[in-house]
Amino acid sequence: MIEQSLQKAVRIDALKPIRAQEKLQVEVVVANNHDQPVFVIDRVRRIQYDEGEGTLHLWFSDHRRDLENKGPLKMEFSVPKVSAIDKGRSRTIKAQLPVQMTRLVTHADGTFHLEALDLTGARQVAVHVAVDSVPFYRSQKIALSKQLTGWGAEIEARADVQSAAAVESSKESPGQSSASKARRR
Amino acid sequence: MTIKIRQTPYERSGGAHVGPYTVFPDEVRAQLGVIAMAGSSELPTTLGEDPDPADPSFTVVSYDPGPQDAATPAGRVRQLLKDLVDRSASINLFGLGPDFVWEDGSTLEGSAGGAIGTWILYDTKNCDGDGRWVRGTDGNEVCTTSAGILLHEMGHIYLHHPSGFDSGALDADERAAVGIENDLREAQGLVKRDPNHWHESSCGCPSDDCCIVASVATGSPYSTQVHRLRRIRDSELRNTRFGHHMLDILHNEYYSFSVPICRVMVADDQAKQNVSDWLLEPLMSVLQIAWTYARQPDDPDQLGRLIAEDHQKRLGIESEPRFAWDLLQIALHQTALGDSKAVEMVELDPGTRRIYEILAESLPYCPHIRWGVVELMQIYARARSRYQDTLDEQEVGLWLRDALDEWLGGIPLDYVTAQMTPDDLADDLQILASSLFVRPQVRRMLGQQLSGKTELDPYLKMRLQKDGYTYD
Repeated sequence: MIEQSLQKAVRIDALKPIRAQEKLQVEVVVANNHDQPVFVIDRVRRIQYDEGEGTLHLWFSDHRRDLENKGPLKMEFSVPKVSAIDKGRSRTIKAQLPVQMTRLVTHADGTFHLEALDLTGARQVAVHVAVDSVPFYRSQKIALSKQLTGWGAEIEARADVQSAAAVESSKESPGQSSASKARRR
Repeated sequence: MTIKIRQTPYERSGGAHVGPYTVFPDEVRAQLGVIAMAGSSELPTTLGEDPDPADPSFTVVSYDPGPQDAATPAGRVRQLLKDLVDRSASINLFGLGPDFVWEDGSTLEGSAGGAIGTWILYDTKNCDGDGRWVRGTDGNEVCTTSAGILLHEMGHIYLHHPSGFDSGALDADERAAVGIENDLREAQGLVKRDPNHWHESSCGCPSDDCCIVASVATGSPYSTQVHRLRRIRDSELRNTRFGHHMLDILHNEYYSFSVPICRVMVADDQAKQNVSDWLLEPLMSVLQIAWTYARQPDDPDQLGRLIAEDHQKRLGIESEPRFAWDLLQIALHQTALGDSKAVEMVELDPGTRRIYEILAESLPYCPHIRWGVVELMQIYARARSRYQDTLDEQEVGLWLRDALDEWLGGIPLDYVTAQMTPDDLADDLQILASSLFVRPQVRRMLGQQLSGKTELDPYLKMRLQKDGYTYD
């Protein structure tokens, strides 16, 4: 019940993925129209690239993540830090990723290799943000994997990747904001 | 054999865009140096590196600090490093940077390091320069370093990893690895990391976010007061599904106003002090009283004694304004109704006034907080005022017991009962009849509340009556 009302009341107002040289910069504006403060994870916890579709998924959540350590990799998972958004306010979440990334791939025999994760072909960015009306608190009574993947309602948005040059030129075009007009004068 | 550092880039595969992956050997070397220094200001001359004769892509670390005193944290750190260097199996150190993701696409934000067999892969760039926070034993967020992460991961190898993710063995292993990391922190004069909160660590150092009112008011999320609140919450109230659902809704309502209150307190010391003195301390006291009442419901003298003790304690600190408790009671009552004007009766600083305004905006929509916090504090304020007038422990104790009976019998049930099956509700009310709703008067009031609901399950009715939740 709470999850549904959050998904209705908290939305992504703006999503700007901009490709600037070897980096992909993403700005996500989350607006809280709920009747109380809400909490969001404001760092990228996971990325997933669908090369065929050209879509880069950025997960500001642990939803749909397989946290069972089945392979030879042993690692601990830390809980996310959340930030509050007051009611009626919005918060801009910023993330920056290199477009050339590297992914670890492990093998059952205990060996591994590294795989190039080339994001230069990403045409679209999809963000998935976990939002809840209470912060994340670790409960010793629930398995951490279950708690991480279950925290918060998920809100999402998609937007096309723009080049930094295109963004700059759109600022200079007619219909620009009064702030940039003032700068030009 | 020893500790090895991967020197040459690691060749990537699996796509059209392949090429070498830099493994940051200089950073790894420097971070090993920090571990070997163990809080001192000099890099040990015995820490060295030689090319690995078996594999030119590695160097082999050498280290001999001489005899170490295991009674000191620095001695233990150096000894552990030496033990690893002297081990027959090799440990391969592999540095990572911000362009790395783990197998499932998770970033270094969520996991700063991991191990595959005897390989250690860890974040040498400390969240791309943003730093990383961990939970300190003082309850605050404290920064950690890449050297700390490296030592932590080497600690896992030293201790041998358990298998499985949520196993108790893994939890124990993590605590032990934090213990090793803490030796370095202690040697460096840093606040130790809390081994019980090993999972609290992510990018940003430290985070500047607000936390709960009690944490801000007392200066730490691990203060005695917060610890007591947490203990009551986790050990006692969450023990039944009934308590669990009640806490969930209390929690939800609490966060509808606590964040803006924290913001005021963080910027205003006077407001912080007032919240601590006039909201938090009384709340702690009345929770203690409520707890005593639940344990010894037929000993009202004990309740009166607790009020008398609080009165004496406060007298020892400062003289109490004559009508302070009356004013607090009125202010709480009015604020719960959505009216913050009552506080105009007293001279208050702007921060505290703002806090009352925030409460007045929220409390009308928070029936569970009104019951669980505000009404309870009103009872306390009245009891203090009565005692101030009469200095009669026995009279105040009897009054308190009756007031707590009425308060407990008025617990808002709609939300909680809607979350539970009749069977579960009956089971929990049976348990609570001997732990919280002990007094027959309370159970009678609760029975009346429940019977006022339409379509009460016949089976539940029967069981309720059996456990004393009777009604006319």
